[in-house]
Amino acid sequence: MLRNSLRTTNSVCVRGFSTSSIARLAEPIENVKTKTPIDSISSSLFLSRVPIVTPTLGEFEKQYYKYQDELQRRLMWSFPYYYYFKKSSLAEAAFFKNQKWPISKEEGVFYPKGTPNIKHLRERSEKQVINVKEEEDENSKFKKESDVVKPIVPNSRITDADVKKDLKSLERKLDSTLYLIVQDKKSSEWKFPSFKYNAEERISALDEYATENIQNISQKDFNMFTVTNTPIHVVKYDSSNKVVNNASTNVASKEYIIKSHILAGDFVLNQKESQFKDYLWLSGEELPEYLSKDYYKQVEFLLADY
Amino acid sequence: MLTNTIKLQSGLGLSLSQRIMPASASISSMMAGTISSQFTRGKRTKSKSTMSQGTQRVVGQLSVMSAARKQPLRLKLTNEDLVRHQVVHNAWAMLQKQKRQVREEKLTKQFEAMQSAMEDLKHGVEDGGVLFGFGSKFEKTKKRVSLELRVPTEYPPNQVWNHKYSKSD
Repeated sequence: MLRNSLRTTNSVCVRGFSTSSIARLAEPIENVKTKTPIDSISSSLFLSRVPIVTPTLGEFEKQYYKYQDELQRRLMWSFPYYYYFKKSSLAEAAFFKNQKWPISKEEGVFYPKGTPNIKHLRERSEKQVINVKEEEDENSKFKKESDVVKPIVPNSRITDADVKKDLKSLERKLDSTLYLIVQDKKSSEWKFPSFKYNAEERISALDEYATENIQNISQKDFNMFTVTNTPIHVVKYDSSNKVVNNASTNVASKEYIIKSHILAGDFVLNQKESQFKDYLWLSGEELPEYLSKDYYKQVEFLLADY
Repeated sequence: MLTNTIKLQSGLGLSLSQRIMPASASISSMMAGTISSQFTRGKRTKSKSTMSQGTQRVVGQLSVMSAARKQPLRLKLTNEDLVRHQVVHNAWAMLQKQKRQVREEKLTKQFEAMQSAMEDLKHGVEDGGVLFGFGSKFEKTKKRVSLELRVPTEYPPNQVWNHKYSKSD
């Protein structure tokens, strides 16, 4: 009931987006007393493509995982071959043929790496390696397994778009999040796409407004998932259209950022019908090259971890 | 030795004697005390143990799960190796801690940004509270993450991106 009444009157005090009982204000109320008219408000879209592959590991991480893996193998129990292969069967013989046997203990021999300690055909002080290589018999009239079943080759983590450095492709940089930025026709500045409200039209919600407008300026259809109807950030500008960093400067216009992910389809800019002349899909690391310093400083913390 | 020979004889002649003289077969099996009525594949003709074959099979299966004779030697690290191991462990813990701190700071910042954006929407816009109302609206059915969002995998799928999407579908 309260929320419904709130749409019509502004006098009712309801805390928006509050999970804590103490509403923490980022800036004192005196500064926001001057209200911005609706035609200076815009809804900005933080559209991202989530990573398709897991993050690329650093050198230290790789070595650490390798070390842990080796430790685990060293501490593993021996393989109970006698359970899987019947004694003196052909399968057992084939299995034995593939194995590399540990050195056995003999009397009167000095072993520099320690006296062999073998149980279940395994040297107990080392990891056990089981070879399951397919037996190759050239005279066999049967086809080898590798001829019938294609060996599994994983797809490359580096795609054609990476090689061609195609900054407009959604198939580039699979291991990091990509963000859509557009270039304004007038100022030729790169920013997240933002759409100004029109005072004469009916006011629609920030998320709906941004979603509708971005679909309108695209030549192709695409599917997107808007995370929340609550704006994740507000970027303020002064009268000369510069980003306001401190609370004392007068605010002329504002951009409320809505968070969203692209799921399928492509965004292809329709230049004729929009205020933007170009678009790019960039990773978080590439963004500072294109965004202005002040703007990047404002949105940096919104970027995903990888 | 005596029981062994009886077992051997009864074991070898079982199928024949069972067919011809079931009564005598049951007597011989009673004498031997080893032949169970349970069917076992790959029946041994020679058996050293006095266990029935069913029991033997269970013992074999249990031995797979038991640690006896399968455990490797205890890992004995030299002092130098131990220090090295601890250094690796500490370095990893430090890296994780750093990552965690950066992440927590970022999340706090993001949360506060949402909060201040909503405060700003409430007090700083000349729209009669319409945008704030929409922004703070809670849907009755909880918003769910879209099923089309993919979990990152180690290698990309055959079709990296679905380019053929149309609204009419």
